[in-house]
This record gives sequence, structure tokens and C-alpha cells, in this order.
Amino acid sequence: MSAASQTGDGPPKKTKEPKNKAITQQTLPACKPVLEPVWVVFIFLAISMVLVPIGAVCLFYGLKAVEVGARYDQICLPGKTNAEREQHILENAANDTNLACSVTLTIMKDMKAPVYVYYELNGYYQNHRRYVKSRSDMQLAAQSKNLATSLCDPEEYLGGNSSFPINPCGLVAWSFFNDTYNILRERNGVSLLLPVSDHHIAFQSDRKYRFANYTPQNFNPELNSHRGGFNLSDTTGGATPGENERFMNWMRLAALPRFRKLWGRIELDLKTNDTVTVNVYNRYNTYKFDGQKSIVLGTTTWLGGRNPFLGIAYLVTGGLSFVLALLYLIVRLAKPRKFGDPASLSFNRQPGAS
Amino acid sequence: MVKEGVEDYKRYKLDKETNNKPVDVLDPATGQYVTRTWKDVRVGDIVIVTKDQQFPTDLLFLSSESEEGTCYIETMNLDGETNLKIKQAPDDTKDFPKAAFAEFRDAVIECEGPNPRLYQFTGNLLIGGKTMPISPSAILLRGCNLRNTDVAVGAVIYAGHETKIFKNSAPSPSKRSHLERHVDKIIIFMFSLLFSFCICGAVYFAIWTRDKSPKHWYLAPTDTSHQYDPTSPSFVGFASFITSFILYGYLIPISLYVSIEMVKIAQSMGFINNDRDMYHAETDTPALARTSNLNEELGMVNTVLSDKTGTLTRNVMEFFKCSIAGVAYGAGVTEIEKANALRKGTILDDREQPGAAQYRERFYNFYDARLMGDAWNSAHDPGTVEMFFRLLAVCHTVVPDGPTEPDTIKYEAESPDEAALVVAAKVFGFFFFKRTNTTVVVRERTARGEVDVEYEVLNVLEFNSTRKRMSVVVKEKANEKIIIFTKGADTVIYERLDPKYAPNDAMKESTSKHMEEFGAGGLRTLCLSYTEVDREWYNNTWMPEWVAAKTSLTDRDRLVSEASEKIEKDLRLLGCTAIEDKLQEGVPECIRQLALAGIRIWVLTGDKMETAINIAFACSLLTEDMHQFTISVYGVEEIEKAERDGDKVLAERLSHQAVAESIATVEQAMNDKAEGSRFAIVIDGKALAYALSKDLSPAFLRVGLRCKAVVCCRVSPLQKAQVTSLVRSHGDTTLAIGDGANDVGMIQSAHIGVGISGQEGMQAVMSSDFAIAQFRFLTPLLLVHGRYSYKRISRMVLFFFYKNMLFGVTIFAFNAFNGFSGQFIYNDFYMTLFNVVFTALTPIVIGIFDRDVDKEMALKYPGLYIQGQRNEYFNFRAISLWLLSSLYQCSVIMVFVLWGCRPTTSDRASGQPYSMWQTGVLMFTCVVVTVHFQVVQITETWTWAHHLSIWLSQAVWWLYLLAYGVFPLYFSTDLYNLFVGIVSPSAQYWLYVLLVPAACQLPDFFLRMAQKQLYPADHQVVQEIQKKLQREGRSVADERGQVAPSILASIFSGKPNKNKGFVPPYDSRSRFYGLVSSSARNTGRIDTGTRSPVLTHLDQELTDNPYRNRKKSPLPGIAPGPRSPTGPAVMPVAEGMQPSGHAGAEMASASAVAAGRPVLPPIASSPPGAHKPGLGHADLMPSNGSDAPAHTSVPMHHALALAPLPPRTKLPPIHQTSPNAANSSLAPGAIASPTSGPLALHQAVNEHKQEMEAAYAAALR
Repeated sequence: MSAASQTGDGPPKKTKEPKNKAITQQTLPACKPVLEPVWVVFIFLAISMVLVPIGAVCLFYGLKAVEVGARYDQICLPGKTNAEREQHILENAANDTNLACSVTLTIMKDMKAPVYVYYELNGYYQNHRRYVKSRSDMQLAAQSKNLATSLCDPEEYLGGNSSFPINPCGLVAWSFFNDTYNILRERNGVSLLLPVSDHHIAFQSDRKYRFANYTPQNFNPELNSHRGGFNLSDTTGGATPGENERFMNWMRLAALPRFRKLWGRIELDLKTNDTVTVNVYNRYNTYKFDGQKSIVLGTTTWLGGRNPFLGIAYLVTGGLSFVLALLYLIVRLAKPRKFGDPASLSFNRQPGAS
Repeated sequence: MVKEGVEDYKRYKLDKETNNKPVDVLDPATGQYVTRTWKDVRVGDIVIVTKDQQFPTDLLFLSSESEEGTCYIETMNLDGETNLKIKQAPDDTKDFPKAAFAEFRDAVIECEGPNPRLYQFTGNLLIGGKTMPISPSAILLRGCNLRNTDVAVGAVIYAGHETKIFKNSAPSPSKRSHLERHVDKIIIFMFSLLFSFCICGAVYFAIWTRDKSPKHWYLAPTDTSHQYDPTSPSFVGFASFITSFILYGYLIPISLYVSIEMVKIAQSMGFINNDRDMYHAETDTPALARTSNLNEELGMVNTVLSDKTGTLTRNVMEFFKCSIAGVAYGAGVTEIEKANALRKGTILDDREQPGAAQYRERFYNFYDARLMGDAWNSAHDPGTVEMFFRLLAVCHTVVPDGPTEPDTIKYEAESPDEAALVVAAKVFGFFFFKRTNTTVVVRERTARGEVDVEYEVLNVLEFNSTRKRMSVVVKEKANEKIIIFTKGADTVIYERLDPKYAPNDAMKESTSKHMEEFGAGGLRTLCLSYTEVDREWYNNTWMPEWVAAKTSLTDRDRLVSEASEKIEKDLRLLGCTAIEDKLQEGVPECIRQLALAGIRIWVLTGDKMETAINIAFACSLLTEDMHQFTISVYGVEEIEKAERDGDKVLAERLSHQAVAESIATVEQAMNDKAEGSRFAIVIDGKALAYALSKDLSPAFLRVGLRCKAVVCCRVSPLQKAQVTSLVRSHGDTTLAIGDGANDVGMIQSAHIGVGISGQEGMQAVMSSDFAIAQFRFLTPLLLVHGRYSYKRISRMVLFFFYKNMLFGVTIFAFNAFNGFSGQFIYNDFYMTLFNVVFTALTPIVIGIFDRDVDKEMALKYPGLYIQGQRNEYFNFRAISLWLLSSLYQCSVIMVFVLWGCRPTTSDRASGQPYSMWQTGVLMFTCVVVTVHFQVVQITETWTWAHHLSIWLSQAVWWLYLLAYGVFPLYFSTDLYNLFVGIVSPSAQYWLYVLLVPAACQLPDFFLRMAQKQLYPADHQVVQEIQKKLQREGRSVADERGQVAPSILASIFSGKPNKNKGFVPPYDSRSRFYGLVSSSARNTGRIDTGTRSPVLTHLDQELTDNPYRNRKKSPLPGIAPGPRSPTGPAVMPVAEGMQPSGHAGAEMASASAVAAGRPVLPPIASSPPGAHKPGLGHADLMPSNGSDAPAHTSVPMHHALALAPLPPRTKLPPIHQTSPNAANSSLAPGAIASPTSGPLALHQAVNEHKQEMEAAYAAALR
């Protein structure tokens, strides 16, 4: 670590004298924000000033969106227990009409188009490790590289026969949600079948990059024995992964066991006191695992669907900041301390030391 | 580890190089000298060492082919002294030419087994039927170099690992800092947390899989793979445990150790080594951190244990004053006097007198017009003055070197004091310029003109600590008069003055007065005397007795001492000299600062008590406001009586009792004093030996720890190490600082060893952890670097744990929502990069660049250091607060993100609800931003490095998201187009990124601010002061009180402004600075019950530091102490102990196998098994109460221990045989390694340490 430094105008003399550099002498120019009490209060208030208005705005828009929905898995089927209901759907596997039922929703507040149609599942672990892993993004995007279905275990081959590789493979695709809905609006006694669009209900980037148009192979040729899992067809949203946006939404996993997926979009307004009747083909087996199924209609604002949480969180945090400012002021007033007072140094307070 | 590997390799290379050095060895077969490598040299070989070569082994010096049979050696590697030592070959071999040794067939060396005593040797040379004692002065030790001598022939007596230098080397202990050990504990805690997480997860998952998963048909539970097989829950649990272990592994900051290492290297190589404050321009020595492990330990030091000579003082002796024939000469003012005067408000005129400059030289700083030039001829009593000067020129063991001109001559002296005296004589006109084996030649300039006078040196009666005097008997060639010159401690000399010689009485009085004055000024005094010896009596009576005593194989010490007594009598007093050992620059201020920093200072010195106290006052260690206690066993009548009567046991018991009582009294007195009183203890080596004994050490430690300062006088190197271990055993962080080989033990046993570099010798530096050039640099080393490093590293480590905990718990918490299946909400790629990229830079920047206050402020307010001593930054409270904060923030993140962004809500106008990877990115962003907000909070200063790291790290995260999203799908999978396509268009994402960190940090911020308001930490107050100063436009540097040298001064001095390194501010107002008058000292002291008016009764000795005069003092490692003339005795620590009867038996077996009994080839067959019990073993045993008679309660033990004691010299003479006498087939000189050697120093120390710790623990119970 010896540094040659030149002293004076003599010949360069080798010395071990360390160079006078700010970085090694630890004298780098530095800013030291030492907060005086007024600054502390100011900071708390400033945070509060920023957060509270944002919170107000968020709350406003979070509440502006309208949401209406109803759980239907229990009421749609006869039977007292889920086991009986499951029995029912398994027995009527071939006959969808026996599974149909209708749910009536009353619109309490105007809903401007577009009105989004969601199904909501509860108790469904899309975030289970086995479930999450069992898919092949490359296959879905029809990219030539790494088409192997090995990632998809256990839904890799149809019937376990390796000559029938499944495409799209994996548990997620295999368990594709298969309830369908017809939605009727009754306004002033006039009933109208609302057209439910399934276009542009998936993320644009998904439509563009992640799902390709190809004909599925060996993909749920029939409903699986658990009475869940759908195939892709023109009648139910699109025959290829790249066309079927409901499939895309299904493939976007949910982080928690209670989740919604966008099923369709209604381009007509719903008015207060309208009655909406949803005719459900209740095929999907949530009874085995005591899950719940709901149908939800909702509108959005720029901030998203109805969700006051963000606004409240902002308001609480901003309010907390304000309270802390007051608390700090009280502390400050109750026990004032001179700024930079050497008398507050602990070693100055002790007897015997100077 | 790599570092250690490299070091090991270097060591290996060095070993190889050393092993293969060439040396000329006599081949007995051919009688020729052949060149061999060092590793092939065997015991018994005869080797030739040429000028400037190192000795490959321990050698018996046989011949130097010079007339006198002497050679000079440099012992720098052994004791750090650069002056040359003279070695003398035995008379019978010194005249042999080297070729003659080929015919050398019937010589045998008998000697003791290998041992670590550097300055002792017991053995005989059997040659031609004669038995001759070998004196230690004929032993050439490995590690020394031959100087000024062309060739030296020697016989190998100990080789390889048996050499004394090896026996002395203890492996330097590997040192780890407190903080690192704490880190290990936290890591263990984190691991247990991890395990419990994993076990919880695994158990839950196993049960869930068994009971619930069969119902979740979409998980295809019937398509079993083992990992998810509901029918084998135990395996599922096990697999889950493994998965979780990897998953939650983020709790353990793996990169922590790497980061710590990097930071420490930057701190030591970048800052400590390059600090201009610790650069000593005069010796061109920067500070050196020899290890980077202990940086933060420097910030936690509670106790500094310091050597005195060479550490506090410069070890440059200057002839300063003298008193001749009752008249005091010399007008200089010592530092101590200056300080004293300043304290009283006067300023002494210390300007050099105009005439003084021409005489000023090294070792000499004296001017008095009455003596200078030839003026002394007309001074008071010129005859005495002349004799005084003659004594200075003759009575010494100095060897002149170089051209024999007064200006150019160099003196090689064993102690700088002697050199100072000889130089003084030279200046006064008594120029000593030549020494042969038997003569000393002095060019005397007297009223009679300048003549070369040759004195025949008949005898040299050497100094030792019992005699406390040194004499030479000379015969003036011209007039055949025999004169004895004696110099020594005043008490010793006064006893031997001629009562019939009239001038003595008058002179005694005034000389005593002068000596007292000199002593009070911190000077080292010597009393000088001479007398004429009756020639008849000398030749016929004394000389034979002397020769008999000198050659006696038994009881030699006692006989020699008795013989000396007979000639050193009826002396005539000449006067006294006073030598100044100057304090190093800035020492008092440095000590004052360290004291203010709450550091206890223990000075361990070989000096006598009075000198030590004076120096302690001079360097502000002892101050007037301290309650000073003295513990000593000197001057206690009963003990002295017992010693006089030779009743060792009684003396031991009484001493032990006295020390015990003293300590108890001191403790009682301390309890009685008001809170906040400051205490100091002065203890002498002998009392210390008892205080360190097993049963007293806990009490002594208790008392010592309550003192601001402890001065231990006359301590041995081993005691230094023991004291260090004792203090260390309490849990205090100790720092030992020293400069010499005698400090090595202390340096190694302390937590931190600091060596004084840039001066003579490297021993201390080589065993130290940090090397600085001056004592005063301790201040920046501790107060700046130590403090910074401690704060930085503790902060960095805590931050590491905080962030990993925060991150790890989010992963765990998310798992609670997916049945602990081991799924994570984050993507693998950015998860792995969390520690490595996104949060890697900031902790390192904290560790390197953060500084809470400027270094000037750290120096101005030394009390800031106390935070480190109390470990306020890394104690349980701090750690748990950090972890709690981490948990709180984690829960805020989990609630806000998992509830706010639950997948039943939509965050955009197009209606899609939150999906998993999107929530993951949001959560991760929150974690990263929160963590950096935390950095913002704890950052004390913002340099560009801080800005860079904090903002860059966050920017990198978003850049990563952007970049990764456009990578091909097979590469970025979940992240493919996630950020651009889904996450960033959402307003909620950005709103949460703003909200969550704010919600996380607000309470933290409030608590910090409230704490600062209510209970401000010291550094926070100082920060405010600093801020205030800046606001007032004053720079902090001004506050340091250093006035920049004026431009004019720098022009005229002809040198550019030179960096002098750190000089502590001199604060004249300080009440800590200054010396206390002796009366104040007397009143301030509490008599401790031993009736020891120490200052007055304390025996004086010739030179105050027995270790400097190495000739008579044993090696570092065993304590020198007054050698009792009655022979070996059981004395704790201070003296080597003979084994007691029962112990002797054990030791006999030990020494029987102690190999390395060398012979000269060919072997004289002598019976094996003869041995000298106890040597090398017992000498090393510290007094630990086990067999030292320190117990007052077990007198029987002593009786047992003492009764069978054979005096050392009456032991059967040892017969050196070949190393393995039993195996006579071994070639001559074959080496044998000892199967069991004497206890090595470090072992003894360790044992002692353990015992002390145990004793301490017991005492606490």
C-alpha cells in the first residue's frame, strides 16, 4: 500500500506516506440531514398531506365502481350436502340441461357499460405448487423451442399413453373452468338476453405473445371424471388457445384460493332496479373440495373494480402520519431539548467525567 | 478461506527457503567443512557462521579465530534491540583455529534440556578431562545475526524446534471479534427460525396432503408422484421440508460473510493503512492493519494494557542532569516539571541556553557552564568531578564501534542508559574509545592535558536486580593503583559508603536531596561511587575467592554475590546522574482522551514503582482527583524479617496474606467512596504475583475493573500476559500495546494486539494485529477507525439480517395461503438476485462509507466511544428491535399487498383481476423499496456512494424487470411481458409502491425521532452540534484546536507542510494534565494496611527496567525477580520454582525424555537418565495456587513442597548424551525430537487463564 509521492521539487522520493485523498481519509463531502424537530413535524405533515388526498381520490373511485353477485353452487343443485350435489353433477354428466339453474341479481345502482362478468371460486388452490408448475408456456405460445410436455406432469399424456401427448398440457389447462352463463335482463317486465362478449377480456400481452392459434391435441376430449375441465370449441369462446380468452384468463393463476376470473363483458348499461337473471350451466365440480362458486357483475373505473381498500389504506396511513406529527409535537413540548446541547451528552451527565 | 490458503502457501514457501539455507558444517569423517542445508544440521555438528549470517541453530560459541575469542551478535529477532551484544567463547577453545575442530574428538557438552529461557544456560564443557562451566555469554541463539566478526565456530546444542526461539514461540492465537461471534449466534437463531418454519410447513403440508388433497381433484391427487402422494404423508412431509428449507433459506444471509469480509478489507487496507493521521513522518511509517478481522473490535475496547518503555516513552535516554560532590548541575526542564508548572499556572523557561547547542547530541541533553569545556577544572571539588567523569567513562559494559573519533564513534550498549553515560563522559572530555578483552582506553582531557589512559579491567561485577549495582575493578596501567568504581541505586550505595571518609556525610545529604528532585522530575537516577582497593588484599585474598566463586558449579550466584560484597565496601560518594526517558509526543493528551472515552488503562511496566508513578502522573494516567491505592509487599517488616531469616514459607504466607488484606481494604475503601469516584491502583510485581494467584485474582480483578488506571510495576512478561488474560476473562475487550519482545505474550493474549512499529525490532509487530508508529495514534485508531468500523459493521450486519428476515418471512407468509405447498409468489430469478444484486450494494456502502459524525468530532468528543464499549449497536435490544421492525414491516407488506391486491379485485379499467405473478412483482417491489427506505433512514451521511448505491439498486430492479420481460419466453417464462404488459399500466401498482414503504417506515421513523427527542444518543447530540457549527460557518476542523502552521513558517522551515500524523490537542486547562506534588500524592493515597510507605521505602535499583538489562534477566516468559541468595525457592511467579519432592518425580520423567542433549562428536558415552529436574519446567509454572504456596490456609502443603527441595546447584551433574542415549547406533549428531518437552509458555498461560476464569466464575457465585 505504499504510495510514492513527490515532495517539493527534489527528485521523487519514495515514501510510504498515504496520499491525501478524500476517500481514504474519510472526508468525502457528505450531506448530513440532521433533522430538527420542526423538520420532523414537517415531514410527518407532508407525508400526511400527500397521502390523504390520494386516499380520498382512491376511495372515491374505489367506491364508484359497482359490483353485484351471488353464490350459486349451493342453490343450483338439489341435495343437502356437497357430496350429494357432487353425486348429482356426476350422474348428469351427459345431460347439461339437468345442471342448469338460474340466479337472480337485482341491480341496486346504475352500472355503465362495459359490465364485466366474473366467476368467483373460493377454496380453490390455483397457487398450489403442483398446480402452478404443471404447465408449458412454450407449448401455449406454440414456440418451437422446448415443446416438451415434461413440465406438465401429471397431465402430460392422455390416459398416460405416451403416444398421445396433450396440448395444451398440464393441470391448469386440464382443469379449465367449464360453467357457462346466459344473462337475461329484465327491465320493466321486458326481458332481454344480454350479449356477453368474450373479446378483449384477457390481457392484451397475453393475447399477443403468450397464446397461439393452434388446434389442441388430446385436450380434454371429454369431460374428465371429476366433471371439470373444458375443451376448447367455437361455441364456448374459441377453439384455439389464441382465440379463447376465457382460457387465457384461466391460465393466469390467482395468488390466493379465493379468486375471480373475467368471463365476459356486457356492452349494455344496467339500471337501478333492473333484474338480471343468470342461467348457469353448473358443470364445474367444486363440491368435492367444498369450494364455492359465485357469479359477479361489476363495472370498473380507471382505478379498477370496486375496492375501497386502497383508499382506506391511504387515508389510514396519511392519518397515522398526522397523528404521529401531533404525538411528536406533544413529546417535543412535554420534554423540550435544546438542539445540539452538549449537556445532553451522556458522558457529560455522569459525575466524575468532564 | 482463500486468504488463509494463500497465507499458508506463503508460509510453506518461507519454511522451504529457510530449510534450504546453506551453512558450512564440519564433516567428522573427513575433517573437512562442507556446505549443507539448514535442515541437515544435527545436534553436535560443528558449524561455521560467517559475517552477517544468521545462526541456523543454538550454538555453543567455540572460537571466532580472533585474538579475544569474542564475537558480536545482533539480537533483533529475539528482543528487538539493535545494539550489538558481545559473546565470549570459553577460554579453552577460543584460540583454536577452525581446522582444529576436526581433531576434536573427546569433548562433551553437558547441558539442560531444551527450554525457552533465552538468557539462561546451564551446562558444562568437558574437554581434555577438564570440566568447564559454560556461561550464557557463550551461547549463540538461533535468530541472531553475526555482526562485525568475520567468522564464528560453534557446536550445535539445540536444533530445529528445540531451539530457544522456537520454544518461545507460541502459535499466535486466531482472533475473532466479539461481533462476529454474536453474528454466529444470530445465524444460529436464524437457522432455528428456519427450521421451525420448515417443520411447521412440512407438518402442515403433510397433513393437508393426507386429509385434504384427495378432494382437490384439480391437483390430480390420484396421479401420484411421491412428492404429493396423499397416502404417504411422512414422505410428503420430508420432501416438503427439503423444499421449504431451500425456499426459506433466504432467512439466512449467505452473502453476509462475503460482504463483511469485503467491508473489513476496505476498512483496513483502505482506511487504516492509508490514514494520514496515523502516519509517522520521522520514521516513514504508516499504520498497518495486519489482520482485518478485528476492525470493529477496536470500537469496543474497555481496557488498554500498555507497556511503558518504548511505548509511552521514546526509549531514548538522554543525560540530563547530575550532581557532583553535592552540587547539582544541569538546567534543563523535564516534561513533567513543565507540566507541573503549567498546572500551577506558571510557565517554565525551557529555552535552550545559547551555549548548549554545540554539545547537543544523541543521548545527551545537558548544559551547565560550570562543567562544559574545561570549566569544571575550576568548579567545586575538581578532584571529585574528575573521578565522576572517569567513572562514567570506565564503569560500563559498552563497546565502541566505528572510527575512534569523538564525532563518529558509535557505542553499542546493552541499555541506552549506559550509552547516555558514556556519551556524557565523552562530552566532558573523558573519551572512551577502545575496549579490549581486558582493557578500557580513555582519552582523558584534564588540567594536566590530554592523554590516553589505559585501564586494565580486572573484574566486572555485573548488575542484577538483587545487587542493584554494578562495579568494575580496574588497574590504572600507569600507576598500578586498583580502583573499584560502583554505580547503583542510592540505597545500595549509601549502605556501602565509607563511614570514615569525611566528605561522604555532607555529600550524602545534598546528593539525596538532588536525587529526590531529579526523581520527582521523572528522571532516572544513579548514584556513583568509587574507592581504592588494597592491592595486597585484592591479589591474595579477594581474587582467589572471586575466581573460586565464579567457577563454582554449585551455588554460584550466591558465592559470587558474597564475594562482591567483600569488595564493594568503604566507597566514596561521587554524586549522581539523572537521565531522562522522554515521553512520546502526545502521550498525555492521548491518555486523557482514552480516559474520557471510558477506557481503563493498565500500564504494565518493569520499572520500579516510583518511576512508574512519576511517569503515570506525567502522562496523565494518574491524576490528582483519583483515589490512589498502592498494593505492595515491600517494606512490610514481618515479611522482610522472614526473608532475612530465610524462612521462605513464612515470607510467602505473610506476603500472600498482606496482599489479600490489601485488596480487601481497597475494595472496602472503594465501596465507601461516593458514586463516580475515580480510582487508581498501583501494584508492584511481587504483590501482583500473589494477586494473580488463584484465590486472589477474582478480588483483584473486581478491584482493578473499578479503576480508571492501574499501574503494575516490575512485572515480568509472563505476568503481563497473565494480567491481560485476567482482564480478558472478565469479558472486557482488551487491547494490549507494546513495542518489545517482552510484550509479545501480552499482545497475543489480548483481544487486540497493537505493536509499535517503525522503531527497533519487529517482534511485537509481528505478533500484533495492528501496528502503529506512535502511542498517540491509538487515539485515531480507536476513536475514529474503531468506532467507525464498529458502527458500520454492526449496522451493516443488522441491516443484513433485517432485510433477509423481511424477505424470508414474506415467502413463508405467502405459503400459508397455498397450504405450505412450497410455492412462492416471486419468480425464481429475481428472488435469487435479491441478495446478490438488488440489495447487495447498500449494506456494503454502509459498511464502508457511513460516518455518523466527522472524525474531528469523534476526536473532540471521546465519550462517543462509550457507545461501542457498551455495545449499544449490537446488543440484544438492538438486534431484537431490528428484527421486530422487520416483522412489522413484513406484516404491513403482506396485509397491504395480499389483501389490497387480492385476486377478487381488479386493478384496471379493462376489468382483469390481480393474478399471481403480478402480485408477486408488486410485493417484491415493495420489499425492495422498503428496504431501501430503511437504508435512507439509517444512513447518517450522504456521500455520492450512498446516493449511487441507494438509487442505483432500486433502478436496477426496474431495469431488470424491463429487460427480463423482453427476453424470449422460454427464458423469462412468468416474467415474459409481465411488467410492460400487465404490471406497469396499472395505476394501483404505482400507488402501492408509494404507500407500502411509507406505511412500513412511518412508525420506524417516529420511534427514531421520538427516541432522539427523549433520549438522544450521544452521537445524535454530536451530530446536532456539528450541524450547529456548520450553520455558524465554523468548520469542524477548527474545533479540533489545531492551528494550521502559518505560511511563513512553512516557507522558512524549508519543507512543505509536513503531515505529522495525529497530534492530540494540548489542553492546558485540563485538570487531568499535570503532575501532583508528592505531598498531595501522599495525602491522596490510602494506606492499604500493608504498612508500605512505598515511595520512600521502595528499593532503588540501578536501572529501573530490569528487562532492558537482559544479561541477568531471564527470558520473557519467566519472571525476573530478585534472586534470592539463598537459592531456589518456591516463590509464586516471580521466581522459578524447584519442583517439590512429589512433583519432582513427575518432572524427572519429563526431563528424562527431554531430548536434545547434544554432544560434540564423537559421543562420550555417559549414562542416560541423569537429569536436572525442574529446569525449564518449574520455571515456567506461573503461580496459580496449585503448587505455589500462596494459600495461607495450607501451610502443610508448603512444608511438603519445600522440605525435599534440593538446591539447584546440588543436583547431580547432568550428563549430556546423544539425543537418544538408548539408541547408540544413531549417528553422531543425529537429531531427535523431544517426545515431551517442557511446558511451553503459551500452555502455561492457557492453563493459567482457565484457572483464572474458573476462579472468577466461582467468585461471582
